[in-house]
Amino acid sequence: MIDLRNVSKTYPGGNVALHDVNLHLDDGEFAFIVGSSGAGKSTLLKLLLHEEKPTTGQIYVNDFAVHKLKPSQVPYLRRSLGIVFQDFRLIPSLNVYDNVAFSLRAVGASKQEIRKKVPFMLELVGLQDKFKSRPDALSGGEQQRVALARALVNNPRIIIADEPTGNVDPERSMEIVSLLEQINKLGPGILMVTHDHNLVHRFRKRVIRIEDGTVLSDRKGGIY
Amino acid sequence: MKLHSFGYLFGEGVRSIFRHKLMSFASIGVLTACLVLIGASVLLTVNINALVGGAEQENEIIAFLDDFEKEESEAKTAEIRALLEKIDNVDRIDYVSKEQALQEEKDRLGEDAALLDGFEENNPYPAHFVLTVRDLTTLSATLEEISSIPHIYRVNSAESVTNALISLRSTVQWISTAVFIALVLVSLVIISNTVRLTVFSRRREINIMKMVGATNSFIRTPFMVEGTMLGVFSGFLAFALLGGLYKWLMGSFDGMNFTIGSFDGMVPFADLALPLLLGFLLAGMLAGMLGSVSSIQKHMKV
Ligand SMILES: Nc1ncnc2c1ncn2[C@@H]1O[C@H](COP(=O)(O)OP(=O)(O)O)[C@@H](O)[C@H]1O
Ligand SMILES: [Mg+2]
Repeated sequence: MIDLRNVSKTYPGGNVALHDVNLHLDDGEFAFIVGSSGAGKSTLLKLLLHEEKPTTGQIYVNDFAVHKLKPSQVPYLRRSLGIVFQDFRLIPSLNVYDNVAFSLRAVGASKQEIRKKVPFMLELVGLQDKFKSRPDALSGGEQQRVALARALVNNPRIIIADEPTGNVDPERSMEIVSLLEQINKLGPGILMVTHDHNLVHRFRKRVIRIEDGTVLSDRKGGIY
Repeated sequence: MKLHSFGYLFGEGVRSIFRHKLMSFASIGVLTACLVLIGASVLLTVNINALVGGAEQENEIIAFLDDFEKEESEAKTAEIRALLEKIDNVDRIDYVSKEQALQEEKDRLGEDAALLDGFEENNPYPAHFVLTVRDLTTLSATLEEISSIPHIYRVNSAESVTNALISLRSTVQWISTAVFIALVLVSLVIISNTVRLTVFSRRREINIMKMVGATNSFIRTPFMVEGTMLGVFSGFLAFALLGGLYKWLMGSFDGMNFTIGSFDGMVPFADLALPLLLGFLLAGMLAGMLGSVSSIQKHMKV
């Protein structure tokens, strides 16, 4: 569940990134966020992750009141989210298996848990044969699937993805969004920022369009 | 923190040392060099103090007593001794009676002792106390206190020699303290820069940890383990290097076989080894740990 009420964000330099944004996402909902570069899409996601704080307004994510979250609670907010970035953000010195295990270890999972969950996730994203590879030996699409497995392994309630297909060729992009659709059917909600019109048209989900820091349109069915 | 997590984080800290070999190598090099320099300045100070430090015991003060009635003598002497003991700065107190004073003089004259024959009846040598002080810097005040005791009519001490020694010693202490502080400051700057570099090269990892919901203590622990281990290792290394250097220097001094005052060579290494080792390990550990914690702190905010 995501709920934004009258949220504005002005960066210290005076840059207004978001202005009076209201937005609601139910549990298990799938939505794209579109808009031109500099519209405020990444800022919106950063507010959800508590990477940035809103200047005014209230933000609720899952069971957390993010706008007034104590620092000690931030890790628990993030554990309820699966986060995916355009640049994958894998750890180059770790192989695929350990990159996925990384987020389990970070939340204090036991060895048995790790041994059970990591292979399951790698199979889900179709990388069970590459578990020993280093990230730099994989294609962009494969790296993003590793990142997806890592985001999923802690059973998040929402996957938050900032242009996950930005560094992936069109065909592989299709695969990744299909994978997200499959994951969505298993439960978690998906909030994905993208530039790619073809993807948005093809998958016919809810589309939130942001321009100049405000929500310009919010429709279902892949139209904006 | 769960126990299996700690096991993992400890292992992660150790593995990280080997994973980032160049950075570990640089950290150990910097820390060891700093410790050796600081240790060398401490050892130099210790030896210079040993050289000028015996001054208190070497400087005898002689307090002469006037001749009081023979029968009262012992009680009076005890009274005066009690008064001397009350003075805080007075350390050793030896009494020399008139007879002993005469005998000492005879011993000094040796073959010419016959010159003093017949002096027993009318002994001109005064009874006196031979004193040493704990702290030479307050000598003149102590001398005044001693003079004010009844029946002490004169106090002798080599005050000018003492003053020269004191000023030499305090100069040495000032310089060595200044050098020590300067070295510690320089070391802190170098170490924190080295660690900052390490952390900077791994801010990506730290950022990923934050994004997957790792707590700050979870993120900090491997860095602390790593910093501490590097520190302890550098401590041992610095100890071995400095110990070797010290023994080598001592060997070359022994060949010369010289003596200045009470100084008969360098302070033996065995007397210094344990405090030096403990100091190095503690300093290395603290530097490694604080270095990693302080420089990681600003990456923790996001
Ligand atoms: N850390 C920052 N400090 C100052 N201004 C920023 C910062 N991050 C983004 N901005 C500004 O906020 C606006 C929105 O940026 P962003 O959310 O990254 O847009 P998008 O992701 O839609 O391209 C832009 O004008 C950008 O320059
Ligand atoms: Mg962006």
